[in-house]
Amino acid sequence: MPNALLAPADVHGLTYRGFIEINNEEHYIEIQQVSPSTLTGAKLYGSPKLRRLLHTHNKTILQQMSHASNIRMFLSDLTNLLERKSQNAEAQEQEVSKKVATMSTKQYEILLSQLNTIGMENVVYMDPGLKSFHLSIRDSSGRQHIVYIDLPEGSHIYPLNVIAELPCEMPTFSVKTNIPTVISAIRDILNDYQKLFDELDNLDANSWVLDPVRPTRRDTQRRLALGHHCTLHLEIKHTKNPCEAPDLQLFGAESRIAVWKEAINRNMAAWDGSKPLLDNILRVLELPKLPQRDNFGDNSADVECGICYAYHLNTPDTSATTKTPEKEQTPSLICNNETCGRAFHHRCMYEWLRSVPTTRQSFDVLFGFCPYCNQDITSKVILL
Amino acid sequence: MDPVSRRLLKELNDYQREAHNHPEIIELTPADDEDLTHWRATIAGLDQTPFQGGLWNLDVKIPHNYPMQPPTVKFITQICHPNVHFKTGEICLDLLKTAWSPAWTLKSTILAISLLLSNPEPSSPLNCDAANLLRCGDLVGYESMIRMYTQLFAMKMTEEDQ
Repeated sequence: MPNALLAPADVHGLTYRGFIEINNEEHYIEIQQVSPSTLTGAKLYGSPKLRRLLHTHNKTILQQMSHASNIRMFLSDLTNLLERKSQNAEAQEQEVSKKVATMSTKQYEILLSQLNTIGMENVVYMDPGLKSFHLSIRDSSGRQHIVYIDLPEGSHIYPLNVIAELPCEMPTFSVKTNIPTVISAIRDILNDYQKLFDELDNLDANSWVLDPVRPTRRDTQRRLALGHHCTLHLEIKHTKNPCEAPDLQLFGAESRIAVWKEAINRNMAAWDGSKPLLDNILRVLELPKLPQRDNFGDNSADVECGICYAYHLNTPDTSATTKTPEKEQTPSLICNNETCGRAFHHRCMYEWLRSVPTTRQSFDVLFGFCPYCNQDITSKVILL
Repeated sequence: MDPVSRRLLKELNDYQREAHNHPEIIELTPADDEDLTHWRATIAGLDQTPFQGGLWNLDVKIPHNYPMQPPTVKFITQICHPNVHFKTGEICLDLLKTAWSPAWTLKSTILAISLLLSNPEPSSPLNCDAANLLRCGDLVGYESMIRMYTQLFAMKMTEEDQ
């Protein structure tokens, strides 16, 4: 037994003190047996370092104790176990350090010089490992855009992973494209779309955009509130020429939107591509102005679901797992009673009608009464 | 945030914005900041009624599937009224059971209860003694009994203030 030195510490031969050697390091250890013949139930004491080493191996050690016929055998088992363990730990450490392998000084210099070229004041965020950057770009009208750049895993700078909010497809960059080239390419694209941004900003400022909730530069479609639970959906087809007639679609109670439908049919031919988008929309709908969001929330009931009081039906379990069709995410079920005209989510109305004993069902349609005006209302059965 | 809390927060905002329109509701608020499903309310007896001068605390419990199910409301402060149980504070009001609809809010529910005080419905009583007085047409007896219990139970706070 080359790697253990033990001496009896009491007259009965039950307690032994000494040192065991693990990876050329000696650790103090004391074993107190309950009876001289067996190690089962014996207590182990040791240096704090040894205790740390033994920490996760309680079960194995107890097993070894019950199997070992004498202290010598137990100690050699124990040494084996701990040596194996510390070797494993070293191997793991090496692997971890490989993973976070940092780039060479040379590469950091290249990276820094690239960042300096675009100006450090434009770096909005960088992660501590210098692997991910958020860069700010000002387009020709001074609008701020953020470009997200991620460096690949490992010790390389290239290829860069670039994400930006653009109204078009992301351009593909060659493998060795550096950061300043990427930035200037994206700035060129953004400058190409100035007219689109102008028109959409003007529209957003003078209307109540229900969807998207926070429009980004990528979004070329808008859902605008018209009041009385009616909405106008528009999608710009020619992003380079945003004043061209877009796709217009009306949503709401038939009786309410009929007026606007007629107006659109009458005026669509006279759409003037040389005038601003907003002006054209107002002229086509024959409206003096579009309703705006009321910060005091007084007219928010106009667009919300009358049951859950929300516009977007975004319960975590509906949006992610079960795919609710987009149409049913917004209050699209409208009470046909003209004086009521409240809007509801299909799902909310289904839940309500299901809980009322007077509701009748025929195939997959529920017949019940509007919670607000008590007039007939129907809802599809939704399978949850 | 789950849909129930979202709706309740909106109701709270709406009520606080228009609280001045409803002097009969003294208080309507969640019982504590952590839990939106338990509210407390205080209503005042209307002038020109035997309930005048009284303040009653109500306990409002909101079910997890609100607004498909009505809230559970009961009186904490003892009250003598034909449609309120004298001991438990339970309220007999169709709105809290069969006539519920999601169009009602906590505010309108509490308002309805405050209106119930001056518009009792003796044909569906929870307090038979009070209802019997009304059914016999003994308005003087009914009103003086109400006035006595209002003074006994619902005016303690003002006495202490004095």
